[in-house]
Amino acid sequence: MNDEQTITTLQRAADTATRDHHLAPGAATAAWEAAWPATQRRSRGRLVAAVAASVAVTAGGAAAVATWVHHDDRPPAGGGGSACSLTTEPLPTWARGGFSADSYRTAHVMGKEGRIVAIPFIRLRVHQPPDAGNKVLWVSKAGYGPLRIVATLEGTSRTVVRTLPDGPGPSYVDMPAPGCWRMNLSWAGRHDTLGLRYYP
Amino acid sequence: MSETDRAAFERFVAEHGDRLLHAAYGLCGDWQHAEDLVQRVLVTVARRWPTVQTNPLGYAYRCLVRANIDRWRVLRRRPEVLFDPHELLAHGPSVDLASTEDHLVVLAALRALPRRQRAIVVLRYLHDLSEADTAAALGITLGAVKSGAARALARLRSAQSSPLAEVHRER
Repeated sequence: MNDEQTITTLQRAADTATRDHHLAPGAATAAWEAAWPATQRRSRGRLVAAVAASVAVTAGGAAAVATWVHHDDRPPAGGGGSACSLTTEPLPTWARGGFSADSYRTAHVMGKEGRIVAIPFIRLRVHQPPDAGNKVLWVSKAGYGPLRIVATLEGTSRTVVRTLPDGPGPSYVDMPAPGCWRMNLSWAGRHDTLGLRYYP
Repeated sequence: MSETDRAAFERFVAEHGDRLLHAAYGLCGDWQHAEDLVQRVLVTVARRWPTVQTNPLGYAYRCLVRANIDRWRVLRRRPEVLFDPHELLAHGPSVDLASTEDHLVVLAALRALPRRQRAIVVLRYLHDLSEADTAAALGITLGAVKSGAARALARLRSAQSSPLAEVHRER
């Protein structure tokens, strides 16, 4: 086999492995908005500093850009006070990295101890369409290391364990059944609890 | 920034976004990280749009390589899965089995390449960058690209003709 044949085989293999993957719709808009927030766009010509768009989401430095396209079918803030209710209260300051001021009220769930925030970027479902995923951004106040999630379905003893080896940061977290999953979270010697609701 | 700039940037992303995503995947081997890498790169490109408009794609590739190196440093040599074979197998019966096995062999060999050689192969042969553009993206000399590419291709070729590959095809 010569170099040309090797390259051809490689190109075909790579095409097959990547052909069904596309950049998320809205990526350009999100990037532009992060790079040029509205306040800076209004004061064109007076820019003195670039915007911190890519930030360390934890003290340990897991970088994530929180500019994903948000879903718009979230329950209203409060949501009846369940452990799995999302809130649109302003994010704590330590969790705002990568968000524009307009997004500080993005829907999220705060840990009971106030040490971690979970920000779902889509309505979490047990059966997501093939082109979607249960994307959740975890932002810890401090500490960086693998994040272990022990989740128990509310009203049952059903428990599952998930480990995010990269620690707090962007993730995909699936659950096997719909309902409110109470999650005990452990990372870098720290602990907190919160709940996330998964829909059918 | 003007709306014209914004529109030009969005056209650039519409035209090249998938290429950047696939390149990121080639470099890091994980779709989720690839998405995050590309998003970071797009923010950087958008921020510098006034000065990079002459060659935004070249600049984006450079940013991508650097962002992946940064990520690699953070993760401290975390084991990577480059071009997960399941991506190929997931396509099921629509893919010819023999060619799929050829693909598995060559992708496994690509995965085993040293990081720089792998980046050279991804940019030079999978994304058709010239030797000069590949050198610029990686921040290395033209000679280093040529020698790296030659060594990488020799390894890939050797892997494809190895007895192990033959056994794999015959299974």
